Amino acid sequence: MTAPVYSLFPGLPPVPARNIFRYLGMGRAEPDPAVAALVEECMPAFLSAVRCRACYTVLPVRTDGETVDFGVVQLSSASLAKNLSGCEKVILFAATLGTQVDLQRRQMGVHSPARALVLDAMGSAAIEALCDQLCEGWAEENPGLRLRPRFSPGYGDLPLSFQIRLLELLDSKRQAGIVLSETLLMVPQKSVSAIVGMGPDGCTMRFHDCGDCDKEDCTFRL
Amino acid sequence: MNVMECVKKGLFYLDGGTGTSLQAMGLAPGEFPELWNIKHPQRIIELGRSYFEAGSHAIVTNTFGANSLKFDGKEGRPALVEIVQAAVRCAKEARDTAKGGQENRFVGLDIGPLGRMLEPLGDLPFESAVDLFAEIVQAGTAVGADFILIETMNDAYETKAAVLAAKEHSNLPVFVSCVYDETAKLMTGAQPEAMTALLEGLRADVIGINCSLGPDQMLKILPRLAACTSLPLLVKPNAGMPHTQNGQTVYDVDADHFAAVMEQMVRQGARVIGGCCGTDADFIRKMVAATKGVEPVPLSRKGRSVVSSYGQTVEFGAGPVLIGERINPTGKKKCKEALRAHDISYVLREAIAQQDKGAQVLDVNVGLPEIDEAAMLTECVRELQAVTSLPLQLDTANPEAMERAMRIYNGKPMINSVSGKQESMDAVFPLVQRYGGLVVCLTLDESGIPDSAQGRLKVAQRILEEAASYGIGPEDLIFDPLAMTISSDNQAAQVTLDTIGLLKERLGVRCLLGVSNVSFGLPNREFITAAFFTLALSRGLDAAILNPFSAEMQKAYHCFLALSGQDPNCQRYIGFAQNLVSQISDASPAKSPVTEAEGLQSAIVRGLREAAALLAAKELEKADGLAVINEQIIPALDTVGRGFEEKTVFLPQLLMSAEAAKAAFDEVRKTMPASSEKGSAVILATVKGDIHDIGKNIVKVLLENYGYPVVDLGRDVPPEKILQAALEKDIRLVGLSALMTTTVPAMEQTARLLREKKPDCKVVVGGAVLTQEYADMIGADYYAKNAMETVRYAERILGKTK
Repeated sequence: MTAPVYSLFPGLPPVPARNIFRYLGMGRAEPDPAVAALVEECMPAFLSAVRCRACYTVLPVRTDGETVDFGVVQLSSASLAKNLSGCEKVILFAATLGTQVDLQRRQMGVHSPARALVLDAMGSAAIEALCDQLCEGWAEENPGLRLRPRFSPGYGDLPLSFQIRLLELLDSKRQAGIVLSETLLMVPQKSVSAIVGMGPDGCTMRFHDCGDCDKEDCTFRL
Repeated sequence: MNVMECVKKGLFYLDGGTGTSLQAMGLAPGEFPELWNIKHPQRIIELGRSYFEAGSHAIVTNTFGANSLKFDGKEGRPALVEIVQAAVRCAKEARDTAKGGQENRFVGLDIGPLGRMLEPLGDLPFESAVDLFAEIVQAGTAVGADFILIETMNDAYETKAAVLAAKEHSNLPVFVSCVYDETAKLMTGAQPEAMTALLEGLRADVIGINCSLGPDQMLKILPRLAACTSLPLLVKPNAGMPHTQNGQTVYDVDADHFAAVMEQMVRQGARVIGGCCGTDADFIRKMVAATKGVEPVPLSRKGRSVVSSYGQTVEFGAGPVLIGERINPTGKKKCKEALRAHDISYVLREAIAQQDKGAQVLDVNVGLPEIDEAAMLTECVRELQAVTSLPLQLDTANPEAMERAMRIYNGKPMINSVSGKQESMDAVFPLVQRYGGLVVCLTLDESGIPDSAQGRLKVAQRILEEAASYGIGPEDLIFDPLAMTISSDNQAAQVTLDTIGLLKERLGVRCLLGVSNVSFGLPNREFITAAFFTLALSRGLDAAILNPFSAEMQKAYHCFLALSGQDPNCQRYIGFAQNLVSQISDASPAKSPVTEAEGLQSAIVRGLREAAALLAAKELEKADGLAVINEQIIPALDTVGRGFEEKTVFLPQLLMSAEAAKAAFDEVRKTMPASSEKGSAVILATVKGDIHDIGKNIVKVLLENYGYPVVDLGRDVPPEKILQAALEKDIRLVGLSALMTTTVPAMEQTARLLREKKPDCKVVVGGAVLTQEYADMIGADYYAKNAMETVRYAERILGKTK
């Protein structure tokens, strides 16, 4: 029995300006006209550098309080087990905006750090928008099932080192051009890997709640 | 018959997919296929035999993912050598036991990507990649592979590392195949023309395309490769795109359609053909049948003169090429100072500015007697190719510097230069033979610069002959007929122009000039230089090394293109001329977005960079530099800085103001002698293992604004390097940045090392993952939540600057 890995070349959905400002650390504040103008100025070049790729696989899942069993891999993580409890299957996926946005940001950094910062925030907002779009697609393909919030290595007690196994299962270098550094950072930088549970019930939490999170100095925090 | 004889003789059939075939035989997801060489050798042999029996001339070993990162011989994992030996054994057994098929049968050592990204995008150093590939090459060569197939490469730089390893550790023919997407680009951006330039330069034997795309999409990319390469072309498509059917992965192209398209591929220039993911022996059998009797397109030399970077190719002979000369300390005081102070960011800014002015290639010369030129040139090339995709011209007379720079250059470089002197040719040509390059050839020799065009032609002929003995064709040489000063010899320009004519007529070679020398010693030099440039262009000059900021040179260039019929509808000229006018009107402060009444201070607060520069220049007409700094720039920065601390101003605005202030400072500096009153320097670095540097760069801009010179050590910096810089420059404050929990230990190591060896040096830390607790735990002196806090801490430790 083999679980196929699918490779996708999705288009980038619209990136909400609101989220770009949040990643710029502006919280709920109204953007200054100069900042809004800078975002507008940087957008066309940013969009032309984005090349989205993604890959995913669908696996069965069984959980008990402490462990998660995907058939081909078992791991112990209470937080992931909680996230996936009641799910029948999970989608493992990785998505990226590609390497060109990384290069573009570095080049911009040479003569305009402000624009490099804007490109960085755009990248963060864009990869999240891409993941949202992918999840919406999977939700539509699976009527009757609801998607759980995305859960990535490093969340809760799921160790970051699970990245290695996750990206191996996804054959992510070949399928989406995503690799890990020795210190487990994803390259290209604007990439996400995650586990998404699908179950008959449970919340579909599309927008995460900052109140639930203990990272109080997060740029994105409202 | 050996492999290359067989390839040159006619169509050469490779095998089909390995990974997908093994999955069909029961390979589990996440299981390493290479382990089957040891666990299930019979299945591997059976698969190979099926390809030979279907008509393949060659199969490749089941070693796609084999490298010592994965197979290190520890904790029960086999060592790389065991995997490679077992794989070659299986492939040979398949070759020897297959029934029927081709008379000549070969085994290729298969090499795939390492699964890590090279610097600067990732963290794997170039030479480490070369070493990892070398291990595979040595293991496979030792047990008798017939050729090497480097395949499914999606990054130009990693491909270069693999080919170098193959060439340096074996004498086997090297086939190289890359993965292009539907827009004909590799994952890191290289296009077929750039990869061809790189791989032909590295003396690959066969090049091509595989994986990712089905045959129909590949057929669209193939003509681009066929148009530019002189080498046999390899094509190995997937069986279309994968999808699921009843829980099984299936590919959407069947063997019949595959075979039909492969026949068209052959007619379009493919010679070495096979299949990739989703193809099996049936595909190969049908492909062999469909192409039987089809004559491959004869191999032909394309003779294109090109240089490349990872992202761009520049062809010489298709219109004049502008080469930017600004990165060169000769006669440039600022550049000299920057190189002495190890200020790489100066070099990067010059590069981007020249790129914006239309330079197509950048000359890089960092030779100064008091610096280590080899180290500096290598570092500059590494940093430049991380921020610009323009091809580089490596400009040095130091053979060690040249070799090291050529080796790490991500593409086919331009080499400046060789001359007709035997010693020069003996030093340069072996490097070009090994790494590839387009070489600037100076028409002078042991007896100096010949006075006549005939004399220079003779030198050129001699260089051509010597190059040919290294297998370097005329397309990889570009001749410099040498522009001499007309103020000392009235006939100098004429001889140079005549030499261009003669070189073109007699030898049909490409020509290049460094034009500015012609006007040396004359007033308003640019008038003469530009007119000379136009004359040289009309004689057929292919490229000029010049200052792209010179309006006269730009005019000469654009006018020549329009007048010589190389500018359809005069579009480029119109764009250039109109833009020139608008630049002039933009420069008048009356039209600037900030009125003078609002003043410099307001321009900085509002983050208006151009306006701030103009207004600073205006202020400097009535006040001295120090007054402008103390009464305008500093108060503006303080306003913004306080606003940020009070959360009424946000980071982007803070940075925009910082950029505006910097532009104003630059104006002030033009009027003041190099300041000796600068504050103490601060070292900034993103720690070992971390490649995210945006935060560090923000801190750098602000510190510089506040007058602290920054020694920027970059990203992924080992603790020892930071200590060494701190000791050398007697630094009192080091700022360290880390993004992830996994890189905090490197931060701790660095802090500990500094405390031991340089106890008077304070350490300030910051970055997404950092907290006060972390900072205390790793023994940092201070945790700065943001860039302004770092500035405030610097003020406390080093004192305020004036």
